[in-house]
Amino acid sequence: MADTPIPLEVRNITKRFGDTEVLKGLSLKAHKGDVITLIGASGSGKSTFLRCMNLLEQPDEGEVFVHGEEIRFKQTKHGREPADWKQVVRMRAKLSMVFQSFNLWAHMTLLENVIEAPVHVLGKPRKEAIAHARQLLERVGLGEHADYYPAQMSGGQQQRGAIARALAMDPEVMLFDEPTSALDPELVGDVLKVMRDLAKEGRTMIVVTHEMAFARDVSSEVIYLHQGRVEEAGPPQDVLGNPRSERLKQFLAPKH
Amino acid sequence: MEALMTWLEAQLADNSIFTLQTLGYYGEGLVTTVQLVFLSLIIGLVMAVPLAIGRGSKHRWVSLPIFLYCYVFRGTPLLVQLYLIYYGVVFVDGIQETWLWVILEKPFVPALIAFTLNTAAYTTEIFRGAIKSTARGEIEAARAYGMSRGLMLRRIVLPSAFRRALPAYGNEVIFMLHASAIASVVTIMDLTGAARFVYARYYAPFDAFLFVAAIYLCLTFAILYLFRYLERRLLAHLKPASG
Amino acid sequence: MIDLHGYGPRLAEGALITIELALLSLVLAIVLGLLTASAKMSRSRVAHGIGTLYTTVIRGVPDLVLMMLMFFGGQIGINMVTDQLYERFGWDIFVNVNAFVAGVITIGLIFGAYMGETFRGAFLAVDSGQIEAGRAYGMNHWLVFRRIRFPQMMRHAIPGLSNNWMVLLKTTALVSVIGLTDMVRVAAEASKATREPFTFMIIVAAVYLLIATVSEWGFARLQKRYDVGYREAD
Repeated sequence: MADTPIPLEVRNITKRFGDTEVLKGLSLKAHKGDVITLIGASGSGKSTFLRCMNLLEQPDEGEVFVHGEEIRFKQTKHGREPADWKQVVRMRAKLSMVFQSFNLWAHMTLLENVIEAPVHVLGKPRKEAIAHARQLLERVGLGEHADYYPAQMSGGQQQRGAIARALAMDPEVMLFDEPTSALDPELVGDVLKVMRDLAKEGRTMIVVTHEMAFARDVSSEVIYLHQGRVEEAGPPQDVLGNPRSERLKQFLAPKH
Repeated sequence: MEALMTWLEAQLADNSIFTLQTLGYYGEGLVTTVQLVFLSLIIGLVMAVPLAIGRGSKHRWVSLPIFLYCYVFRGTPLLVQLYLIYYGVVFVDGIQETWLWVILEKPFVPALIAFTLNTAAYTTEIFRGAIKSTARGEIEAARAYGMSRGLMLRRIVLPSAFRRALPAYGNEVIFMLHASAIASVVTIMDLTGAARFVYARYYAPFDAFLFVAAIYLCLTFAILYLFRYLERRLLAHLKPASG
Repeated sequence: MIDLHGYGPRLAEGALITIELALLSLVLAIVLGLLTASAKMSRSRVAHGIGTLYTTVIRGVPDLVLMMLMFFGGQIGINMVTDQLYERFGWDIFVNVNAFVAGVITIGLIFGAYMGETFRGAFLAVDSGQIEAGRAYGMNHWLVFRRIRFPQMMRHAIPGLSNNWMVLLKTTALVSVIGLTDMVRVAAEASKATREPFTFMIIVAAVYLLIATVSEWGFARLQKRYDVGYREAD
């Protein structure tokens, strides 16, 4: 185990917004090939937890390790901040994120979106990046859409494009922040299919989602958060198939 | 060329005001106006980019002076700014003996300085608005993909802000063209200066000013169409696909 | 204390002229703007055409050129008319174009075009359901305009109105060029006479900034008044 560093590990993450503590000491360890899903009601802190992993939010306490390397923090008058932003920038390039609202860059075509970070952050040669990007777009079923601008595509197409953008970084870990929540029901299926394929080929993924079927079929671990704490965690057949806490039972009960 | 000249001369034969000579004044005036407007716009544009970035700075000692500069230059008439710089330069003690006088003697340079400072202030505010309206999610994506602040500014924030600023900047260009007419007040022979000269010489206000108004109108339309073309090209990405 | 070399009272008079000129032109511009907006929204093609021609030409030509055309051309134009009147009817009238009147008319005419666009946009922003509701309750055209369209339109028009006013205020400086002794002209004369341009121009700039700041505050209050009922619940 010691020779292959763990792709992503966080320990005791605590986060406060003003006086309310939204994350109360959360830990998570993603080994290579793990698919960890975070579930919970809105306000449970699952998205904030995910955003602490790539430091889009700064945790007030706790440690973050990427590929075995610990992120260094320092205390400033604005609170706790990373000591070395260059380290954060380098680390973020290893974790790529897929957002709820896609966040494709509106002034670039889909292809330009996909090659942007590989070329300008990783320093990959442009030609190589384009060839790779075309393969990835083909994979997510958008081979024909390379020259479209985001505004010219449906939400489902944009999200699949965003997944191609994430893949283009050859990430250690992919972070998904409710990737299907902003989509019309009929478009969800295509995006989930792409994500299932990624899980099957052994990608390390951390997924915040409301899609219970996806969580059940694909994850290696499910974490149920409630008010910033882990209420239940474990393999999906245990957590989803045999929930122990009353809260999780209610959460999983059919809503209609 | 010669054929054209004789043709022109024939056309102008029974016209006492629009002789080749007066048309020459207008022509030179056109060149001066275009030079003045173009130069001040270009320099102002170059100044406005760092100013707009600094205007949004967290450090008050950076953002406050820029705010004040914009506030003063946008809140006072360009004519006052022109007078301040023109007379300010002329009346500096001993300036007429220095080498600087060679360039400052002509009113062109003070006018250029005033126009540039003025348009830079307006353009700064235009860019600042465009930068501020960058979609939060796009910035987040840039951060999540490991872009440094500088790279994000250069690749994501500024390119999309420039595009969004285009319509407002088009208005600023037209505004500067029109505002440049006051250059004639400090004896510059721009388009309006030429019109004033022709008016004074022939006492024919309608001919002199309507003619120059028509030229300005044409220039305005040219700028308008240029920016419409640019918007069509550069803002295509904001429109949903047709059909 | 700043030494104004005795120009103080004249500067104050000039400032007063600037303010009077700006306010009177504003009134004229608002009236013309409302007329233009209704012309451009009317079904009559002639009215629409005239409105469009007016806004296009005015907004395509520098203020200063229009002002000179009006001031220098106005006198000759009026002389031509009065000459005709004398020849045909024997009426002996002499009208002298006053720089102040020429200034008000020109600035009002220029900003009428800008106001027209502002008002048109604001009228179009009013929800048509509001107007239908008024009609459904038996209001006639004028009553709908006065009680529903105008007050609702103003909410949308205030930002543009405020913006136009700020530009108009600065445009008044141009009248100094056609010979009206507003504060800019006094300051320019004083600068030349005393060779102290900074003193006078900075005072004038400060007065403009003061008026602008006060009006900004005034428009914010006005906006608040028209925004009643639209503020979202906190």
